[in-house]
Amino acid sequence: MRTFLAGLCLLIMTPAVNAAAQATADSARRSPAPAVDATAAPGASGSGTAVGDLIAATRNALNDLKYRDAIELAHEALIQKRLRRSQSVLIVQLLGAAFYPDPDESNATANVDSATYYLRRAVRLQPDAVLPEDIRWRGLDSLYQSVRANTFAALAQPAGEYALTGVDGRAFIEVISARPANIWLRSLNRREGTAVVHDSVRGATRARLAMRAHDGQRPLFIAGEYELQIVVVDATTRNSDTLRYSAIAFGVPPVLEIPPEFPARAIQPERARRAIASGVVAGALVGSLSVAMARYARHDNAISANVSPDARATTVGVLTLLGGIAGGILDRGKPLPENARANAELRANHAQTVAAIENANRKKVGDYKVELRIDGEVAR
Amino acid sequence: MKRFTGAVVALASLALSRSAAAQRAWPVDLQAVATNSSIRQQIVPLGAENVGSSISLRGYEASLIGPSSGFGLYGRYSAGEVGGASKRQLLEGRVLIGSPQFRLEVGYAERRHALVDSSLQYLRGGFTTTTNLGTSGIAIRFRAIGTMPVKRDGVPFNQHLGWEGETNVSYTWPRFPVFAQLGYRIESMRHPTGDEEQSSLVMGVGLWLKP
Repeated sequence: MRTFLAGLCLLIMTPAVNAAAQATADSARRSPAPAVDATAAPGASGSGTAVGDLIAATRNALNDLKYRDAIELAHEALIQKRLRRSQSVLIVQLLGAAFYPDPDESNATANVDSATYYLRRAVRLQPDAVLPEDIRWRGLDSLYQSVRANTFAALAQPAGEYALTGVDGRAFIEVISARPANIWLRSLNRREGTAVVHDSVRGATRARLAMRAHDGQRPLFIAGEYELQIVVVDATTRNSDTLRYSAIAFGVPPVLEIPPEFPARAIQPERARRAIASGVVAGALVGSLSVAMARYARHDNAISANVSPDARATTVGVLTLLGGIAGGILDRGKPLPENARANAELRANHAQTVAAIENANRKKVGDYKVELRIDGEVAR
Repeated sequence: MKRFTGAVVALASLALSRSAAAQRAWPVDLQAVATNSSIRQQIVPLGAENVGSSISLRGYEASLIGPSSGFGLYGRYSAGEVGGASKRQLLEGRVLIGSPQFRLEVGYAERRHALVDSSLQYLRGGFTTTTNLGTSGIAIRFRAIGTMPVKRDGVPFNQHLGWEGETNVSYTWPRFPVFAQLGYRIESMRHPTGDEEQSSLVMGVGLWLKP
């Protein structure tokens, strides 16, 4: 952590930072893979590989003031596969030097734009890297410090290995940004091409981003190759930097049981249908009976012959009809407590079933373990 | 009469004490109602012209039926004065079989009436249908009853058959099980002393606990 903080200090220091501070910060790495020391012998950086030989040849060309040759050799080295981060840093530094020769030593024309481009690329790869002694001169130092002061970058320090358990057993990666930034941690499943955002912070210069093995619904890591990406976006300038790490996950995700859907069709109505039809029918029928009784259901005698039917029956009949219609309209549906009880029981049983399944799933998820090995930072 | 009024008040108090809501389900179907019947009566004594009169009867009706048992009781009492002179009374009891929605009724009634017969007893039997329109509080009722005098003086019973039909519509207050009803009743009877037809407008107010 001390070296990590030292790296941050270096990152935010002005171009007047002295060589001693650079040397101290040199040990701070943003990658688990060690960066190349600027003073290391040429052969050491390449470790005897073709890349190492190309880097050594580039250095020799620079020493011989053969800048065009150095540029060609460096470009050839840069397109080699499986470059380590430290190698990439060194190559783009050499390219920056090749495009910006010392006028006291050579008549070659300086290309400031190209030199700036490669030096910025070096800073973005490793903000705390210093120029190798054998390519330094005062003008290049000045240009490099200027580029570093104006280039947005971030540092991260993932561990080499993480153990993640369930939804709560989190692992953390600390990230430090040169300026307030929005920072995301996401993983990319290389086989399936799917990406998952694990954590994010906004407007922070320091973040502790968390990863989990499972989010409770689905595994966030399954066995396979991943690329962990830390995306850092300057909150003000929107400049961004993305740190990428190869990772391999080991773990067998649990097979979760899917809770049954609620049987909505089994729900019975908890209120009876509104009595509009029965109100109209009953009102019309009984109202008609009132009138019919008064008119027709009489003894065939002197009374029916001499006395007209009672007109009040018609009044009652009409009111009965209107009452039936009004009753149907006013009815909200009679509560059906048996259905309500059956529905409540159905809901309770379903909730119990779902709860049991969820508990079982929760236990499976809680026991899910993932081992995540960081394989190194992906070269940019 | 006072006892009956007291019983109605007691039932109302009981319902009130239970914070009764008309739409709650009660274990029984209990109805107690005070009625006022405006009767137009036509009587044809044997060998005479018909005589018309208007009568206003006041009385009470009460019924109780258990939905689960299917049995119940009904009682009715009404009284009034005809022409300000003779008093007329009706006392009736029935046994109910069925449900609150549909029930068969068998009963016995005694009527005292000055103009036709000092005391007339007859048997009654029929049915009542009640349609409660959901939660509206409105109910529609139809009743059809056949009647037969107990004393027929040797006349075949089918010559003395009479009948009674009644319709009414009622509204029960949603917050408390009190109700008001308006109905029409027609009674046509033949008895040894002559023919009779009564047409009544019946209004009532009471307590109705519904299952």
